[in-house]
Amino acid sequence: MIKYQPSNNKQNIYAIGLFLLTLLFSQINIPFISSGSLPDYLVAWSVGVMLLNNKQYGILTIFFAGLIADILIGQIIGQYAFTFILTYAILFFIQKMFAIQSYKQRTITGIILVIVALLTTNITSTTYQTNFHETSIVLKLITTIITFLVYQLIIYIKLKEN
Amino acid sequence: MAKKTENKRLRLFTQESPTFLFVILIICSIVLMSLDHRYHMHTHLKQKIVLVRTPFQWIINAPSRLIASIDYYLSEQNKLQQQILLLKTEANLFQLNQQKLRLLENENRELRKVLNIKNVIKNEIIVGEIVLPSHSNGVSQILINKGLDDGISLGSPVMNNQGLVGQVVRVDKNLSTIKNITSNNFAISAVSESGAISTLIFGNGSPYLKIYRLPAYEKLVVGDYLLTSGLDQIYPKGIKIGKVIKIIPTNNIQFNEIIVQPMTSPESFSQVMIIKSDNP
Repeated sequence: MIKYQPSNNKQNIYAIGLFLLTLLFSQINIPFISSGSLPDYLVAWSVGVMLLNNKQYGILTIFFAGLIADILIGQIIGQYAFTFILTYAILFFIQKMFAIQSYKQRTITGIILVIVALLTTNITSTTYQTNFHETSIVLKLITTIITFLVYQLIIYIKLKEN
Repeated sequence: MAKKTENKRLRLFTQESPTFLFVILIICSIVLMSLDHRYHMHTHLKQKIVLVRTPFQWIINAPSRLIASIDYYLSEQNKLQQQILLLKTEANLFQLNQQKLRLLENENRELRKVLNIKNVIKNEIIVGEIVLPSHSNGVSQILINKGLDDGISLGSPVMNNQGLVGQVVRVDKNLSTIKNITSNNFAISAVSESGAISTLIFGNGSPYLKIYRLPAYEKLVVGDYLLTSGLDQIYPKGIKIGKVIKIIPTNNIQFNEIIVQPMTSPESFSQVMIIKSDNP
């Protein structure tokens, strides 16, 4: 069982550093994966950071991070802000109803949140269509979950160091 | 005591609960999305923050630039000489073709004069270099190093030596964003090579283009090329769009679904030609 430490400056630096890296990753093409199937790095980052310590990264911080992402790489202003707030709200209520403490529990919660966030970004997307290339969405979901797990692992290793 | 505080904090609608803030922020987000969708604030904002985005693009481009420069220095002299020879041969062939084309163009002009047909195709072309990334956050797009300063306007068609690439969807001072023909919701008015079949081709986010409902009596076969028809007043007539690779019968026997392989893919070229258009 992992006991997450109260927030500190190092956590903030990791979160900001990961955010900048995420912005960079979201502009890089991966060979052999079509652009529609590439992971939504920002969703993976937001869920990872919220699970790290959602008391430290308050709702306003998450909202403004979403707005910055929207302005820099988003399709429409407010899309990521909306997604992040909704994910944050769901996590808030999950944490009120269930005692999530172990690493496994956090990971499963994270995967559920990633699915919710991806669905929200798809629904609010300006290019959303019901007949959108189905395989791309499934692949995107898988790649985003993998990205989230990597972020979660990075955060876990860094917390262990602390 | 500690337990009591914990219980109090776990209540859903206590004073500490940010439910009110959630609702306010969600409403703010929806209002922002609606305003942006209506007034396109995002486009104007992106034009203003181009200075912030440029370092990101520079960093992203750095590895490919490094690889290209290493490749350049490591290239063997023989290989380069062979390439020069090949290019010279190609240039000679192109010159020969150009002469033929000039003759045909003159002949065409004279015939148009005789038949009193106006020349609707304007061939003013700007050549642009592709700047990475070729996608932004999962949405396929091409960024080129030409913008408003070079005379590019919104909606201009973009092509390369193989065929149609897409359309300019955003123009900044020195950069433009091109929407690829395979992007979702992209539609092009097309015509078969023989000119007998006229239809609409759609992009759907996959690497292929689709004709959703082509009447079954239309004689389109696998291997046929589709060209721009010019009817949409955006794309000049006769640019190659793609090749028919599959004809799928639909539930309604009167129609077929056609899968088209585009002539170009974003990975296959480094330069594009933007056709200056009067009808963006």
